[in-house]
Amino acid sequence: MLNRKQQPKYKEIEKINILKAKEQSLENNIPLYTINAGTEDIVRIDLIFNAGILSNPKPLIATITNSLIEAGTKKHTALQIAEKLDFYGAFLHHSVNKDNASISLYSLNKYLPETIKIFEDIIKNSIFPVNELEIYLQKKKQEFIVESEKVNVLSSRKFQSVLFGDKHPYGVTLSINDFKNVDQKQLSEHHLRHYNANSCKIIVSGNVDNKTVNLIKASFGKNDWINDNNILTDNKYIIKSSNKKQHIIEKEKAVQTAIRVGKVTINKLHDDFIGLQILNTVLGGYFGSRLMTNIREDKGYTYGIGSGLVSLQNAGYFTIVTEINSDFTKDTIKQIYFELDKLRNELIEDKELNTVRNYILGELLKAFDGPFALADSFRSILDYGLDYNYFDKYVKTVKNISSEELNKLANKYFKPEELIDVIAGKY
Amino acid sequence: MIKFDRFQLSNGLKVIVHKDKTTPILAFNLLYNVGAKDENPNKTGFAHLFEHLMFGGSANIPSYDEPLQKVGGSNNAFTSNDITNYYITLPKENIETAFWLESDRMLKLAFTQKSLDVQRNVVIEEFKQRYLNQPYGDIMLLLRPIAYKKHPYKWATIGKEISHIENANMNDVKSFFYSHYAPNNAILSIAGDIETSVVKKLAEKWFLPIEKRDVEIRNLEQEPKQTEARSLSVKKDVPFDVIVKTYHMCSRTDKDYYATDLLSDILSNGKSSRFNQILVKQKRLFSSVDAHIMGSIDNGLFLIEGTLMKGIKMKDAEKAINEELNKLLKEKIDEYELNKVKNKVISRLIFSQVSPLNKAMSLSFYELIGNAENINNEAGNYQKVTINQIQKVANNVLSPTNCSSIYYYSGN
Repeated sequence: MLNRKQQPKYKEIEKINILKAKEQSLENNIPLYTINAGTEDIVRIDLIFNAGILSNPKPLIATITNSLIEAGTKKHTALQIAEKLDFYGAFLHHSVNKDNASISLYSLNKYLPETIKIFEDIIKNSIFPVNELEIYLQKKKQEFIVESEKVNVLSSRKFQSVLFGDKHPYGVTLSINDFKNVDQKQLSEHHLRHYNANSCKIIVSGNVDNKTVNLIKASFGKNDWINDNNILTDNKYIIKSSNKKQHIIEKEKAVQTAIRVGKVTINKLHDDFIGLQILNTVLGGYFGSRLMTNIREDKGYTYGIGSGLVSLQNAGYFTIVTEINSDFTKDTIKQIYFELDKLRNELIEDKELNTVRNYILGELLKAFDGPFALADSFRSILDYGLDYNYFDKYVKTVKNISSEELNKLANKYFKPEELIDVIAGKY
Repeated sequence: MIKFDRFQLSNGLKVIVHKDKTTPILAFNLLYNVGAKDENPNKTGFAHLFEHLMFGGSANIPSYDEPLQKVGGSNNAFTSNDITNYYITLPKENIETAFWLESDRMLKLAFTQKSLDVQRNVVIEEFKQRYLNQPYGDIMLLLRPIAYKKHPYKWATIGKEISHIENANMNDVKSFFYSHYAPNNAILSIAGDIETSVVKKLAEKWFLPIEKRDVEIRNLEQEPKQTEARSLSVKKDVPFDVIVKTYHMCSRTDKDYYATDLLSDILSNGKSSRFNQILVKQKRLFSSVDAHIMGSIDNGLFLIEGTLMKGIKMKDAEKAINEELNKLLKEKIDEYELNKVKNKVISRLIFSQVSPLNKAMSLSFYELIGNAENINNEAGNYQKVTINQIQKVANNVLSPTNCSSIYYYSGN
């Protein structure tokens, strides 16, 4: 007789098989990491530079230099570049985070000899034509105005500035006037200083063989794009969090209110980080979390609530994020602090902790499945100078950390008086 | 080439198995042939509300998510006008948990009042967060009833209005379940490192005991041909004017589908596309303008949407769009441009095969609209499109009498 009430036998995840990146050095000392995996004849090449928000001489420069890298080179116009990439079915991915910037080329292997030449030209020879910049700024300004209507955007911007201080590049709030102050000269200078062989790392993933590596050596391995005046980002900025506990941005007609609660904290290099991430998962890092169970599944206040721990090169931050029915703003904040209190005052029971352990291991399994996931996961340790032992430590901690240790972490890092609330909408 | 096995249980459930030895993860995708188009016009938003209720516990299993998280799995679902699709990814060793969970909720939901009350509120918050509280969020809610007068595509998946969701009661919900959720109305696809024989045993163990149900026979009103242009003007609290123009097109299974898709790509896929180069960069009339097709199973929509630059008049923006469309009606495109858009599409198809979940979802969908084997014919179907076909489709679809427009003005 079929017993539908009982869960079938299952296995806990014992270990995660990770295909490791292989390292080699190019002639010009650029480290090249290769990950040969997957079933399709495709490849992704990531070029990573020290050109993130931290390197901003003023707002927008880092992101616009990165975005407009394909807007024209000495020999080719934006249209010519776009036509070629489109024709080969290749595409670029741009990314600028607080610390780094990268440009990735996605290409079918059969067209790589052609597409990598376009990629090389873009990276080395961009000139940021004035008319392209003008059109881009107009478009971005319009988008900025539309975004500024959204409560989640308003709360996010305010949150960054109260956490890091508005003098720190991590916390500077963009204003509409910043768009006026960007010109071609600044972008070219930024490009010259930061998009060069001196501060570059390369990861290539997909169906990678010697042919691929030789193409990369030919395009990026020589001394033609070394810059002896390369400027390393100098972290002279000091983080200064706001002393004020609550920050409210009123938006009268908002049917939903955006809330962010959080603070500056440790980063990946700290011993407590992995444990804190596990604690964060219990609090708000998955669908069965304390916050989701309380505020969405029990009270129906929101479509989604979660929490996250973000690691940056010079700090980290913790944040709880949600958009809720404006009638329940005060109660939601009360419930958030209630859940934080619970984690400080009560031990997490075995049943819940085991569920979280296995959930995290399941997510880790996904994080190493397929060439691009492998490259992304590798990048998360590369940026910090860590090696694959970090993942062994991670799995070990997930399997073995105790409720008592998690409770200690909650009391150390989730003190209510240290958290800042940002509310955009109706309070 | 995606190879797979297929079998059907005697209760009607179709099962597709694609073996992929390169991944430790198994994708389990269950597609139900029910969507917003199957709703009562006075009780819309149900298929989607129902998707939420499916997570509220089933007859024998009070919590759906927790047992899955325990085995290292995760899940999600989505509803469209055509289908409701549930999917799980989990370590392959624990495949039986997926069978246990999905078969129980196909058998019978827990139907608790608390779950209905909470999910009603959650869906109402979703309505606000995605459609009402966002600038331009209500565009599709306005567009559908203008473009469709008879066919149930005239309302959006989220529902016509919040009150329909507020008024949903337990009887409505139960009746919806029994008339649409059934083994004979579902397709299960599994992708990962697994043998078909194992899947067969598990399907027989967990799904075969579920009996066929009398699924409501679909009898949807056909949309009559549109014979004159339609339009709606609105003024909203948004910073910029937006123009939307939509045209009726063929169904997902029509032979003109691929040419219609490529036609939209010629207009706006990629930075070198016509809309981007001419309307955005050269004429500077729009900050962005996009053309795409909805991909719905029944006769669908070809959609153009553009955000005007500040200071540009709506009629000038519209004139410029029409000029680009007329070029496609009058002149044939050249081989280079056609090959370019074909290459882009085929590249996208290849990149999408990296994920076992994508493969499982696609297999279910292709089986629904005809035959799962067609997943391997997609690239070829796009390759076969000719220059003449593009021009013919442009003339059929992009005609003014086939068009419904929304002029979405900034009130500021």
